[in-house]
Amino acid sequence: MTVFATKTVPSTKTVHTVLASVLLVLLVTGCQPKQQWNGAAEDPAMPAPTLIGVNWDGEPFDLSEQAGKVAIVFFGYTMCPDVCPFTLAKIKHVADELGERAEDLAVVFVSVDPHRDSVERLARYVPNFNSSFYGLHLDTDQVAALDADWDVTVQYGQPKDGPRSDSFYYVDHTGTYFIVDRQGQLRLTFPPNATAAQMVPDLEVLLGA
Amino acid sequence: MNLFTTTGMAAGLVLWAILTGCGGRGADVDAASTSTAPASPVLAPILEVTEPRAQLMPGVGAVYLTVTNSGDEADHLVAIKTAAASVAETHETVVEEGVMRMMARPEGFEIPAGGSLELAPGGKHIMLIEPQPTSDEGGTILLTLHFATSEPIAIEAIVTTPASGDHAMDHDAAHDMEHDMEHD
Repeated sequence: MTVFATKTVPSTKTVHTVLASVLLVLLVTGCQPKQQWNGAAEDPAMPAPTLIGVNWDGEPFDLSEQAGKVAIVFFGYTMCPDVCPFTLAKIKHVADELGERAEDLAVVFVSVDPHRDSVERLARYVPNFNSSFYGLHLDTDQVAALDADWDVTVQYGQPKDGPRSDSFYYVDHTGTYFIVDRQGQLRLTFPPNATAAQMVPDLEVLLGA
Repeated sequence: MNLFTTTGMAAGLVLWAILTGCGGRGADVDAASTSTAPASPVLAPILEVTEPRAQLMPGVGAVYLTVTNSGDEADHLVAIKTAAASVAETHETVVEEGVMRMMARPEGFEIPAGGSLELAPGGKHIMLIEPQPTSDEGGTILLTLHFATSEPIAIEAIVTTPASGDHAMDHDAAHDMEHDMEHD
């Protein structure tokens, strides 16, 4: 009993000091809530793959030169009857929603159909949505490299009137949206059916960082 | 049975067919809504076309619409005829592991009895190749839908451009995304 009677009881001041220290450690070690994204986070974030092409205005484009901006990169072609136009319209809506903050947004539509999507054709297509959007023409080798660099699948369908004809053909392609942050890191992806309402909050976070 | 009786029976059958409307509805240019209920006891589809719209771009386009079947037998949309494009076919966009694939559907699309067929962005649609360059936004293009059972229905699709968007896409995409996220 004597032993218990002589045990030191921590003072109130000591308890407070310990609690404060614990809180400090938690703050310093980053115990704040983890960012919740609507898109799928790339973990760990990696530098965005190489993307070099010619913009619809004839100027060379290199994604690495967009550092300082948040970039949305997606792939398609202008002879795409169904989905691609809505993809561009959706991103136009995203840019409209962001308002002035969209000044730091680089929207990059990459054609996977170099045969039909000349720079001139892209110039008649992309600015209809927003003249600040990039519309890239890549050559055949650059398109072929998208698989290894971006994990983007591109498959050309048979021309409608036979393999040797110059008739209409589809281009099946990955419909993912890739989001690159101001530091050039690939941070998020969205599936083809993501909505503008789901993309805007994530972009606001990245634009605010 | 003499000739007079036979002729009389044939005339009676024709009259019955006309009265009961089993000759179908025929083409109706103002066909945003087109349906006539047959009083015939025979099972039959009863089709109505709503919200026809054409999304046109240089060299290519798509037509979206809804066909509702209030009848008691399924039908199929099997062909589309139009002078407004060089080709009009039934196609479908399918997403497989993030890859958007365009599939020709030469067999057409079913319109189930008591159900509907929705042609909407990102799914089933009528693909147009080389639509008429004169088909400007706000104008219309004429198409005739051909069915396996029902009479053809002529429609007038309102022309939109990509930049003007399609509200049906926003709705469908939002729904799909919510559905996907529930399973994450």
